[in-house]
Order: sequence, then C-alpha cells, then structure tokens
Amino acid sequence: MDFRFDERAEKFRAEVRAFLGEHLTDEVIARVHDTGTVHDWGLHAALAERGWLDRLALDHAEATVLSEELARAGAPADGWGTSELVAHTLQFAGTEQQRAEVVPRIFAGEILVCLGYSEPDAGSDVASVATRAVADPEDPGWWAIDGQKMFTTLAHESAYVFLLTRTNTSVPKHRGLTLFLVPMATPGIEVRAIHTLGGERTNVTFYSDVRVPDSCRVGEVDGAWDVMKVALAFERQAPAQGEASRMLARAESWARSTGRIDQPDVRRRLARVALENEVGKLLSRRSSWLHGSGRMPVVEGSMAKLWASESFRRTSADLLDLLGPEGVLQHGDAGAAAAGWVEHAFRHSQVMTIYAGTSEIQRSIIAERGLGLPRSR
Amino acid sequence: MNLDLDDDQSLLQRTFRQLFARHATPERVRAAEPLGFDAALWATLAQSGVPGLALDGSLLDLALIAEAAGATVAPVPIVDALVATRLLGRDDGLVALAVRPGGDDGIARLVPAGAVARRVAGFDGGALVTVDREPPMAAPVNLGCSPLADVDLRDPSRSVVAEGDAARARYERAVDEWRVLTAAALVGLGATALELGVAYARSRRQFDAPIGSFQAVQQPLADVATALDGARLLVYEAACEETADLASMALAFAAETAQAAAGVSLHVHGGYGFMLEYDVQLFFRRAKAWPLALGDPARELDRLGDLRYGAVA
Ligand SMILES: Cc1cc2nc3c(=O)[nH]c(=O)nc-3n(C[C@H](O)[C@H](O)[C@H](O)COP(=O)(O)OP(=O)(O)OC[C@H]3O[C@@H](n4cnc5c(N)ncnc54)[C@H](O)[C@@H]3O)c2cc1C
Repeated sequence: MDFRFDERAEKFRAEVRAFLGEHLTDEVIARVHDTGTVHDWGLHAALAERGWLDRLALDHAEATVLSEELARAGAPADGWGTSELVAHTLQFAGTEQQRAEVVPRIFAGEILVCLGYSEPDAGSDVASVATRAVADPEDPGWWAIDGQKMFTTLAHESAYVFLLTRTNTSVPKHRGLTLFLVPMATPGIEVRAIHTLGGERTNVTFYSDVRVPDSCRVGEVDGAWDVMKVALAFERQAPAQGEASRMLARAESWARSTGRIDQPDVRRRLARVALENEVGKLLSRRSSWLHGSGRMPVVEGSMAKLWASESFRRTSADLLDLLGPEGVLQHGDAGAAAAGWVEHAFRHSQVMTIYAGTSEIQRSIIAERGLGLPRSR
Repeated sequence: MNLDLDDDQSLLQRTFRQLFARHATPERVRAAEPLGFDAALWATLAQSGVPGLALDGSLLDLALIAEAAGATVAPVPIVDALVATRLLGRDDGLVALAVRPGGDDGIARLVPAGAVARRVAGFDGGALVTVDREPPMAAPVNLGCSPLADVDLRDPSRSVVAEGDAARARYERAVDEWRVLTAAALVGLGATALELGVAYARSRRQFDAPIGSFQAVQQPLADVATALDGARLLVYEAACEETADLASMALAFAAETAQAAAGVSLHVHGGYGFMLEYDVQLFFRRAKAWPLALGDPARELDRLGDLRYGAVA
C-alpha cells in the first residue's frame, strides 16, 4: 500500500502547474466569473495541444493529478467535463461515423457537447423524460424531436447536444428511451439563458420539430438506458474536492494576513476543514485509482462525490462565518475578506450536492448497491 | 500509488480477523466485563506472536491487527501492548503506555490497560520511564469497560529508559502510534456496528416492509458507510506516512465516525438497541470511551492547528 504518487506523476504535477501558470490567466478567471460561462476556448485549446483532454488516455496517476490541479487552480472545465464524458460514451456506444468524426474533434478541443437529460418534470428520475422523438413515416430514416430540456449547461457554446428522448410510450419508462447526438445548428432548437445562485450560467433548451437523420442516433432504438448507466457513472467525479482545497488555502492566507491565525477557534476551524479535505481527497483518489486499475468504482464514486460535495457545503458555510462581516463582500470589492472567494464558494457549493446526481441519489446507490439494503423505489 | 494491501498484509488481516471472530465472540466480550480483560484470549494472542510482532511489523501491519480486534471489541489491550512493546524495543509481555504524562505527583491517571499490564511505560519529569505492576488490579467502573487504572510513575520499581529531548520525542512518537492504532480499532468497531445495523434493517419489518427499504433508515447508514471508508483510508495513510498531523486527523475522524456508526446503528434497532441483550450497545459504549483515554478528541484539531500553523506563544 502506498499513498504517494510516484516521481513521474509528481513531475507531471509540476508540469501541469507550470501550464496553468501560463494559461490560466487572471483574465480567464475574471471572464469566467463575469460571464458565468465555465469554459474558456483558449485554455481548452491549450489543454488539447498537450493531449490532455482525453483523461482515459493518460495513465491513471496523471489523469488524477491533472484533475486535482485543474480543480485546485479553479480552471473552468464544465464544457470539457460534459464533452469528454460524451466522447467516452460514444467510444463504446457510438456509430463508426460518430467515433471517426465527432470524438476526434472533441479531443482536439474544437467542439463541445452538452448534456440534454434533465427536463422540467424529469430530474433525479431522468428515465421519465418526455421529450419525444418520432420516426417520420413519410421520410424514412428521419426523426422529428419535440420537447424541452432544463439546465442544458454550455448549450450556448456547444456543437452538439447529447439528447435523451422518449421513443416509445407503451413500455416501462426505462425501455422506451433513445439517445441522439444532435447538432445544435439544426433548425428548431432554441437556447435561453438561466442564471444561477453560484453565478454560473446554464440554459433551458427548446426543441420544436427538430429533424435529424437516423445517423444521429446513439445506441439502439429504445435502448438508451443501457448507455445511460455507463454515461451517468462517468459523470460522478468530485470536482468539489479541488474547490474545497482552494477555499481552504484562501481562508488560511486570510487568517495569516489578518493575524487571526493565532486565535484558537480560528485554528480549530481551519484544522477541521483540512481534516475534511484530507478525507475527501482520499475518497476521490481511491475512486480514480480503482478506475485506473480496471475496476468500476460505482459505489466508491458515489461516496467520493457525496462526501466532497456535502463537506464543501458544510465547510464553506463555516468559513464564511469565520470571516465575519467582511466575508459577505463579493469578489471585486476591495474590502472583501479572502477576495470574496469564500462567499462565492458558499453560493456555488449548494449546487454540487444537486447536479450529477443529488446527495439523496448517491446515498441510495451506496445503501442499495453497497450495503445491500432492499430497494426503496 | 497503490491502495491494495500486499499478499502478506492480506494474509495477516485474514488471520487476525478469523482469530478474533472465533475467540472474541459477543459472549466472551460480555463475560469479560466489567474489567474488560479476557486472559485466555490474551494467551491465544501470545501464541500468534502478540505483542512481539510489534518489533518488526510495520505500523500498517499493526493497524490491520488493531482494526480486526476493534471489529469484535475484543477484551484485550492489544493497541496499548503493541505500542508499548515498540517503544521499549523488546517483548515484555503485557505492557501498556500511559498516554498522558504523569501529573505533578507523578501519577498518570486512568491509564488504558493500567489495571492489567505488568509493566507500564510513561513520561514523568522529563524522562521516559517504566514501572512494574502486579495485575490484575481493580478498575473503576467505566463506560467502555476498559481496564483503566492510575499508575504511579514514581513507584519504587521505576526504571529510566531515556531522558531529555530524545526521550520526549520517543514518547511522543509512541503516543502518535497509539493514536493511529486506536483509530484503526475504532474503524473496525464502526464497521461492525454498521454491519449490525444493516443486518437488522434487512430483517426487521414494519408497515409490511423491511425497514431497510425506508429512505429515512437507508440514508444515514449510507453516510456512515462513506465516512467509515474515508476513516479507514485516513488510518492506513497515517500508518504508512507516520506523521503527527495524520495521526491526529486519523484519531479525531475515526472517533467521530465510529460514534456516528454505533449511534446510527443503535437508533436503527429502535427500542431493541437500548436493551443490553442486543450487541450494538457493546460497540456504542466503547466508541465513545476508547478515544477519551487520551482526552477530548477536539483537542486533536487544536494539535493539528499547531502542527499546521505553528504553536502560539
Ligand atoms: C447549475 C446546474 C447545471 C446543470 N447542468 C445540467 C446539464 O448540463 N445537463 C442536464 O441534463 N442536467 C443538468 N442539471 C440538472 C441536474 O442534473 C438536476 O438538477 C438534478 O439531477 C436534480 O434534478 P431536479 O433539479 O429536477 O430535482 P428533483 O429530482 O426534483 O429533486 C428535488 C429534491 O428531491 C430529492 N429526491 C428526488 N428523488 C428522490 C428519491 N427517489 N429519493 C430521495 N430524494 C429524492 C432530490 O434529492 C432533491 O433534493 C444541472 C443543474 C444545475 C442546477
């Protein structure tokens, strides 16, 4: 048993840090903060140039180090995250054409793909989506899609949406779903911005008589659920972990610069966050290590995501209290404690226990698949 | 990075798990109360090389043994004996460590295993010392049924092992090892407490369904399972790295997690969890009591603060 990365991985860490020093500029951070679009094309292209966008192609230690360093530095990676997981899903479920034409463009950093799963009436129960795809009887080989998707993050920057639709209403809900990779430029798609508590932008997307050829289909007709099981597992990473360690570093430098670091309650509370972060780091590393050694960390992935996100929510709230009245001042105000980043973390952390499977859904997975408790639903 | 145990460690883990499962049954745990010491079990352990194997085993090896012992709340002071044996550098049989230094009067209070150890190592007046004892002695009735006893570190049998800064450093390292091994025992304890709760939730039926199918029952168990996995990783990391900050983190987190596990499990048992006849109470009491031998676990966070930010004058 060895908890350290080998020398090669640590050398790689230094390389990633140098890379971020060069490409993750203050302007990039400011633009992300101001626009709420958690993606930067320049940074993305630079990552692609290094060959880093496909983390499954790196060795697992390098992939883990890369993810840790990006999250710790606050690199905008939402667009990368969704695109990469679609690419990996296409690699095993996509058509030859999708694998040959779309996947390379994703890893070349040319295009993004957004996720069109959630709907107004389908969130945690994603298999209940109502967006309809109907085979056109008059035009064989074509589908017509109608419906609405909620929270289609980065739809406004994406070339494709990975769209979960209902193709059969006369079978149990999990058996009547079909996935499509739909070009965002297709007529009939409309994107509207949604603004959030964390400052990040997401979207609502509308689909009215969106006509796509059958070559856009991913997986079997009515067979999307088998693909989704894998795609959803790819999603359960723990970016909250890196954000939490960045928040702690900022709170620590605030405590040092104000002299508060010498007060017992301040030290105890910072130490508590350091402890929680260590636990989160270990659970995350275990999950990625299992993945890298050829095992599928389903329960372990849920544990890492659950712990990191819940801990981040708890600790950001406590650190904001610690900062006192100046803590509420927002990033950009000269008087803001810790430059307003703890205040930002406090807002942003709320969503991390919601998206990519809420905490309740993660706990269900742990209870039922991990502990073997009877199914609750 | 490699998070698998190697073959030797897996074998060691299996061996001690089986040994404790066979010999430290709930019946024997109860029979050993209130003193909390099963002499026959200790003799069985001695045949398996305890505590002498502390001399050449890694701290991770010892953590695996402590975890296996904790999983059955075995009534033997294995953590204390392993740590003290390592500190003294020789196998003197059942030895213990006074994890808190002697007071002004030279007495170390409520030493874990103080009532059953034949030799106790401690820190008094700037020196690392041992004193000899004639066990078993009476222990005050206590929450964890631990063989606690006050130990006079200035007893006529006192022998000085080391003095000065080196003595202090050796003692502090031993207390850190006690932290890590106690944390390991707490992880074992918590894991069994969780298993008891899960097994009960699967079999107990109310409202025509197993209570384990109710989310209000499932979700706290899932939180506990997550924290226990985190605590186990943290203990193993602390055992591999042997640093003071990880030792404090491991103890603080294992203590809170074992208590949460035993508390949730007890609650899942409903009124039956409150009955002495059910096993979960054995775990619930010890989860709270074991770490308190050193003191309030929150002080581990204060120590962590000192280690991270430097001591305040
Ligand atoms: C900023 C942001 C970005 C997002 N990005 C995307 C995206 O790119 N693509 C996409 O498809 N979706 C995205 N989502 C949607 C996200 O995946 C959903 O919000 C999430 O799955 C929860 O669904 P919901 O919001 O409908 O809540 P609901 O499912 O309605 O849940 C409401 C509450 O009920 C609880 N609950 C629901 N079912 C159960 C149950 N069975 N047992 C116990 N509790 C339950 C939930 O845990 C939650 O607390 C995003 C969301 C946000 C806020």
